[in-house]
Amino acid sequence: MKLLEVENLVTELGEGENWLRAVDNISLTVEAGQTYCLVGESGSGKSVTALSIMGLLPHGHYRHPDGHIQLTDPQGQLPDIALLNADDETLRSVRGSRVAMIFQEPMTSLNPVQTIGEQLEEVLLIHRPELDEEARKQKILAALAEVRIPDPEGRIREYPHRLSGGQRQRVMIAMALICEPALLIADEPTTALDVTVQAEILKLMRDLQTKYGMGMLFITHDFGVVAQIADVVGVMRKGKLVESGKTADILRNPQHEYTQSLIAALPERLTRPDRPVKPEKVLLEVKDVSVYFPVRRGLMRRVVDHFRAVENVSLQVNAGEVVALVGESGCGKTTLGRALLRLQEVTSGSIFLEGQDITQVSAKAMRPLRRRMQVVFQDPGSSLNPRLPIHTTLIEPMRVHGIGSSDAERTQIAARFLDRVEMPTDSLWRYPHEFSGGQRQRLAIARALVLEPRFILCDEITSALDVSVQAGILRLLRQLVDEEGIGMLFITHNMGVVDYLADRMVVMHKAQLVESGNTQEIMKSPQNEHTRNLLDAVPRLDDNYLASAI
Amino acid sequence: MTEQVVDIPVKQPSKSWTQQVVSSLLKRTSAKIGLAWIGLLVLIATFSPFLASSHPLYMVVDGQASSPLLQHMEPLDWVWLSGFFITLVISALSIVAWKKILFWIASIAVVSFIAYSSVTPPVLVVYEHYREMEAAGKVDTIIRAPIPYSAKDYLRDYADTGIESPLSVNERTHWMGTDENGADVASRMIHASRIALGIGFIATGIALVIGTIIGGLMGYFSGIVDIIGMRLVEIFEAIPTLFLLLSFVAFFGRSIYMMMVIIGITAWSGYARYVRAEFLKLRQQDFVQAAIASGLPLRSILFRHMLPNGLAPLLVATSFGVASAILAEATLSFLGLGLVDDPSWGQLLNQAVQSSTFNWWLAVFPGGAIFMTVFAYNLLGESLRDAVDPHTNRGMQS
Repeated sequence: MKLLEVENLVTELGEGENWLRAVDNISLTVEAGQTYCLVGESGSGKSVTALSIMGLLPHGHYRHPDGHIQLTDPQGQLPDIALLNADDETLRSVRGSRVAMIFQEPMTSLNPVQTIGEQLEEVLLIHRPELDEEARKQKILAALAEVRIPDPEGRIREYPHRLSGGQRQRVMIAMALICEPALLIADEPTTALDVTVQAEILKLMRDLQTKYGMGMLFITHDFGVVAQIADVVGVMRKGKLVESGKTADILRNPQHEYTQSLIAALPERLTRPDRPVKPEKVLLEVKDVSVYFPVRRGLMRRVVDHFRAVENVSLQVNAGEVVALVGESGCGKTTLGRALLRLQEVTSGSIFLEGQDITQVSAKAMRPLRRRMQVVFQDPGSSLNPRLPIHTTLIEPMRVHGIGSSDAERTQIAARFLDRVEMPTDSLWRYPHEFSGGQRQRLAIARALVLEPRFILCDEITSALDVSVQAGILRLLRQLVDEEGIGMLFITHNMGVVDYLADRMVVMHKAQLVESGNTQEIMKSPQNEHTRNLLDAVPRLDDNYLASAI
Repeated sequence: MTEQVVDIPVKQPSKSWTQQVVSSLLKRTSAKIGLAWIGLLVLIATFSPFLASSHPLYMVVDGQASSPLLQHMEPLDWVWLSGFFITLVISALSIVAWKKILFWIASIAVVSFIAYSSVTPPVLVVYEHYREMEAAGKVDTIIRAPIPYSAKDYLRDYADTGIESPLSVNERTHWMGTDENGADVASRMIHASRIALGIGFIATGIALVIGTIIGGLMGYFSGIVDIIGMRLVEIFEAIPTLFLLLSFVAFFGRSIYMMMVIIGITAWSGYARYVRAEFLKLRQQDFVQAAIASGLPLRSILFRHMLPNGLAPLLVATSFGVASAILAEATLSFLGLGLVDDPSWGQLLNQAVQSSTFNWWLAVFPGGAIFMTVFAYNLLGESLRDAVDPHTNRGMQS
């Protein structure tokens, strides 16, 4: 039973004379009760495809030179509608009632000044004008119960900021499903969520789909999610659909080389190099470190309580070893990382760098020590100073720490490190905005490396990157650690990355360290309940999965 | 790692952020209009002695050639002129921005010192002298400025009140009429453009420096520094600038420099708020954290990594600030508390309403000039805001 048929869709974005072909000749069919997964890297045109179907592209900045989108009713009661270039009136009647959409960012897709109940009611007022107030309320409560929001009666009077990210996404799903649409378009609905929450949301969507027999067009970049939810998958690249077919076939036996390279780039599928055995030499040692943030209230801003971000955590990192720090968002892993670098004051406990206690060293005395411990941050958009050319960014720390005798020599050193992180040397004279996310992360790594540090902290440095880019960076990091004998603490929530990169792992949960040990052992037999939850929740595409039936 | 020398390609020009902003600014019509007017004003202010003066530019009397204008140039005229050319030269040099600014300030200081210590124009000026000589037929050749009247060349002896509407008397050409003392309005407006420009730049400059330093410290250190700083900001925001100016004028007499300083030290609080907010945001940015983690000194973190990134909203506020400083001076002059003898647009406006008849030319021309200048700065501010704001940029591209 065909529900949505997209034929030869072409979408061009731009204005005036400049048009960029974002979607190039895509044809796909979503059937009732089936999930069609569009997968691809960022910029491949998957979101634009979804927005074209919904008619949500920015007015006046798009055009469709070719294509046809037909929405049919599986029951045959409602008329067929051609969605492409339909007028606003037609689109409005379809949106919400027959086709609904869920967006990526749960934090901003709900209106912060209206209660959950009001926002859900508005949808009903528009699409189900025949319902009276009591019926509407019953329907809202039922919808919230459906998406398993605890205490729906109380929740409808609350504002979005009182809900967690996962709960907001549930409300978004409730809003999308309240008029029982035949087709649900979900644009990376779980990307911004923690893995454990993602697992719950995916399960919920699956259940609701079976219950209502909806068709679903699911957009993601994550092959693990594809494996969990998709019946049919289409791989997109640069606006084109390079391969499509049954999920099991595509994942087990990809035909197109692009699909093959994407699957091979998944961290769990990367080939692991042999690691040289090294003598254990403690580089960084953390003993019972706690970080509390004071909670201030009232006129005098008295400290009424403490928020315990990190509590009594001990760990150690050896030279030439990668330790992964794993946990859900908000568990305190980033705070711990910042505390290690003395970017955040420690409430109690002590930190030793190569045997020297650096916990109480003054900011001034800390400066020369900073050369030995460096950091690479998560967001490639903000990790480099946008006003300075790469040359200045790399040279300045060297000059401060007295590396190289002249700027010419430092430029040579900088060029060598750019070479090391596989960037062209003419990057020196460019500005950060001229580079892609992956390139910027490489440059950020180069900035950390020019000081020849003993220890590098990597805070989720690959989580904003596409898998193939991530694969390149992971390989580079592993090489650096093995060849230079650097110690690395790698903060992440991606288990595939941990599996590939880390020698040992430590798991944090609610500010406390719950488990630590050898990566392979923990992966195989996690002792702690939270570790187990974390591992179970991760959609992975390893050999075991491929061997098992879908 | 092997010691190898990597070939470093020659420096390739790559567009910096500043260049991007400037080029996107110059694409906007409103910015072009604003800049054109301000540029015109700068030219008029710089060359005002050559544009409007009773002193002939060149004169041959009894076979003797002389330039009374150059002899009568004030030290300030020389400072303006040389400042203009110094600015042109420095902007053509390819050195770092902060060095340019330092260099500029230093050269202006040197030039001012030389001008005020060496240039002494004659104290007694008799403008009538030239006209009498000309009438007596003693002058062989004479080249006059386009407007042959100085700002303080009062012609009140010619008529009862001295006030004349534009082009109403045949023997004298006053394009914009005269004021109640019989001085040429066009000439006074040309000379007053210096005050308008000067008060805008210097008052805003003072406010900017104080605001950036205090705001930067508040934003970077936060905590107790921030609390004290914000109270200071609130205290200064509670001071009504106009009343403070009025009382200072009452106590210490009228001085344009005092006005500049007072407007400057009461207007910094807004800039401090902007810089503080930017710094609070920037402090959490990864590249600033990375700079701290690299052990860079505080000076570098504050001025190299944070300030240039927090400058954008400040620039916008500055252009609006210049406009409001000009308005403050015009208001004061309009109230009759501005400068005594020196020309100012607000003072001309005041004369429009003071006499028994409504003298339209005294309202329209200076009023139009104030309006155009404030409007130009606001246009520039608006387009600057659009040029530095990534959201509006994206809106234009997509």
